[in-house]
Amino acid sequence: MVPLRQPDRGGAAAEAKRAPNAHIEQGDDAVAANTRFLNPDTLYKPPGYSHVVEVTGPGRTVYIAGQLGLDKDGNLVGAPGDFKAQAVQTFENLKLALAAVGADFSHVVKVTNLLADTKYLPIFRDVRNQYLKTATPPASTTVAISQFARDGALLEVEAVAVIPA
Amino acid sequence: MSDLRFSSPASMPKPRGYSNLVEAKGPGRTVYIAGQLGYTPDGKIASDFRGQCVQAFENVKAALADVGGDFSQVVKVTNFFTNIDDLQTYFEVRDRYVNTAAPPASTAVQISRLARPEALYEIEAVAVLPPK
Repeated sequence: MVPLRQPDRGGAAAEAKRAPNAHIEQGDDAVAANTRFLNPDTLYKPPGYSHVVEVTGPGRTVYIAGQLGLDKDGNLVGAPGDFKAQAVQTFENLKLALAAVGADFSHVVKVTNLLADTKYLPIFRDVRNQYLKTATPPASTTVAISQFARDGALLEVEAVAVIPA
Repeated sequence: MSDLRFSSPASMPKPRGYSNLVEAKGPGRTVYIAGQLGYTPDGKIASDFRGQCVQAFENVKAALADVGGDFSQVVKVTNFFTNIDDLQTYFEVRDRYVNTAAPPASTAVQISRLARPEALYEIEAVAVLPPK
């Protein structure tokens, strides 16, 4: 197990300690050497995300479409209204999209979370934190929206990932 | 040509007219286009969804043209509707603009209100163009 890095310790010294391919060799908590997750002291402390993520090129940038809680056959998972089931499936879909380009959640630099209601935030955070690198989470925006493209959907999450060249 | 790969992996739910992921390899120019409403350059807006949607796409097209790009280089769009029932009309308009063989990644949601009370639709886009 690699010790957890604090998101606000991503300075030059921390960068220097990382091997170029640290994200491949070091397991789940490793961060790509070209990516820095920051929480400036001048901003409030964010719960479970980073305020600033800096990526230094070259690399591959991957844009992932907004994912819903749909299984491979396109069916909404869980009983109607089961937010947790949909949230887990949504993150599984993101994981599949990342895997398809040889990436994982450590490469995600920004997520946008669209929820049917902010009352789901505690469940959302529980599920999200099982997938994201909680020591160096992506930048994030979360908003409540009134309706999704799919009836019965309770959340949608889109992501941008950057993988070193 | 930018090194762009549009993909919908078989392991994921099949997307309807968009790609589940788009991979952009550097070097290139990444262009972020602000959310566009259905206003013409002289400030006119249609009262119907289709009219607004067409003009919003025209506005994105103009933004792309301004940087020497086109819709084939758009990697991600985000669509906001005040009534998601307009989705079918959106699909028809969209497919006349995007490269339907390699469409951008996409998100579409209904929100309660846009910045202007008469606006029914807004689209923002990210494009990746070859280096200059």
